[in-house]
Amino acid sequence: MIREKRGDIVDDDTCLVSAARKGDQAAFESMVERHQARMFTLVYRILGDYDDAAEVTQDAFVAAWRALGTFRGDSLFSTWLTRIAVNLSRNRLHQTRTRSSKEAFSMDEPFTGCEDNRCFEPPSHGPSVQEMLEKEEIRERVRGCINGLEPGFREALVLRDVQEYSYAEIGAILGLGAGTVKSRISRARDGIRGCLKRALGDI
Amino acid sequence: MDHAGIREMLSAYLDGEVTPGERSLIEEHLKTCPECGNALRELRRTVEHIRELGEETPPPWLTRRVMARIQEEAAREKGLKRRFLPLRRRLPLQAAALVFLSVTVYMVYRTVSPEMKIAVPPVAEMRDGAARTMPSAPPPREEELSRPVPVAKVPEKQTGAPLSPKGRSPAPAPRPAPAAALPEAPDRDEQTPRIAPPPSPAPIAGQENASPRVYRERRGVDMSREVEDHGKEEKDSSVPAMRTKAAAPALREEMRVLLVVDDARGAYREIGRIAGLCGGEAVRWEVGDRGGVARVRVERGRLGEFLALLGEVGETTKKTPLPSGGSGAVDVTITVETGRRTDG
Repeated sequence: MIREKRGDIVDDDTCLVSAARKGDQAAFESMVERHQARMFTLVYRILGDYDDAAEVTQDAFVAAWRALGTFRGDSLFSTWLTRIAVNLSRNRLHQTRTRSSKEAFSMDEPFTGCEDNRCFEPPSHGPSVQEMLEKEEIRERVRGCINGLEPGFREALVLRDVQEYSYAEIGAILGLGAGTVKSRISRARDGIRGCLKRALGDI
Repeated sequence: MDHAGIREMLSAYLDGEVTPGERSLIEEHLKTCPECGNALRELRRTVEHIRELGEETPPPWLTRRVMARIQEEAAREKGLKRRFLPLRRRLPLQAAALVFLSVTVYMVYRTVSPEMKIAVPPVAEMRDGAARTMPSAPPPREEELSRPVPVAKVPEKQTGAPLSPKGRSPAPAPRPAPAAALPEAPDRDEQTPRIAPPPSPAPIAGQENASPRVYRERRGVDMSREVEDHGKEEKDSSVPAMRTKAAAPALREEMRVLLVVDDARGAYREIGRIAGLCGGEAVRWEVGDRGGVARVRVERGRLGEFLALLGEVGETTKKTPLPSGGSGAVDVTITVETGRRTDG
């Protein structure tokens, strides 16, 4: 599904990219709108910090605009953009490594349903409060487990399980061989599995 | 294949990233291994949990901010482009600026350069009357140089009276030239009487007798003052420092030295340097490529040192003996000649 969706985006990108390369800011704005959620999610999953993710996503788009002239269309625009975003995220992680390690998810900390003084309010219909809390608890644990991974493994996992890139595409984006990509994804997933089992008792 | 090998491949198997051979191997193993089957199930569930996280909602202002930054950059670039004109327009402007600058520098140089020349002490000294005599009248100078020394002693006896105040009383008359025909330089002779009479202290002035005084002045000592006064007459104040210094009323002896060198210009530089080393000063400077006259005022105590150093510049011949005893400064007139060796 998503892959198909990505395919559609690609076709439209070709026209927008060529317009943007000629300096058409409106065309580039359309591209930003189209890719921003995907890029933001990628960056947020890698960095684990909302504000940092917003900043780095902006930087990635601005960097892409500057470098549009060097984009030759060998790869998809989305792949090219992803590479920029991953590199900038990596730089940011490097800068704030100490901070992120301090804020890393703690397995001992029980999920209360409230975060930063914001509590999750259940909708009037749909899943029950209990279900909502459970679901959100699991999501929070998963996010925490992802943040606990080493950056190299985290990037591979996010590109595969969040962005749904093929192993070959991941290899191209990260500049890694097929074997390394395979082993990184495998070990990252194994790490998350162990982490979730410890946190939730059962998956 | 053992459990560990199969487990390592389960992740790729889940993604369909295994070869057909690996796939059949794994599937065969899973049929008989509930542990690996459980591991695959957990792995699949883990991936589902991750995917269930879904897409995050970016801040609503994200696109707006990105576009604002891009517009800002585009505007800045445009501004830069405007600031740096294209080459075809920039080149002629730069060429015109260069021409204008060159002309300005040339004009300024032309205006200022004469002053620069004047500012160089030796050249300034040279401009005094004596410079004119040097090249045109070498024979008389020779004659003069060979004149007996006793003259040098004369001022010592008659000192104070005529000389000391003279510097303060510039000759009033322009330059009528009474032609006290001394062999040397007619120009200078012309001026000497004007400058010489220094009858400032009244009693002494009364005793004055023009001709002996002229003789004394010329022979004895104060040729430099002659130069200075001449300068005053011409209202030339370009070398004030030297003038003022030289104008100090003092009795000086004179000696003459003939210096034969290969390079006259170089010799002048050396003389200047040596004079400086010995605490002396140049009081007269007539230079030319082929020779000339330099007069240097040196303290008697350092005269020996000066002459010794001078001997290193070229071949020196003392035309007059060293002044004997006493104190004060001695004016050493150095006649510089080039190209020919002295005959004695």
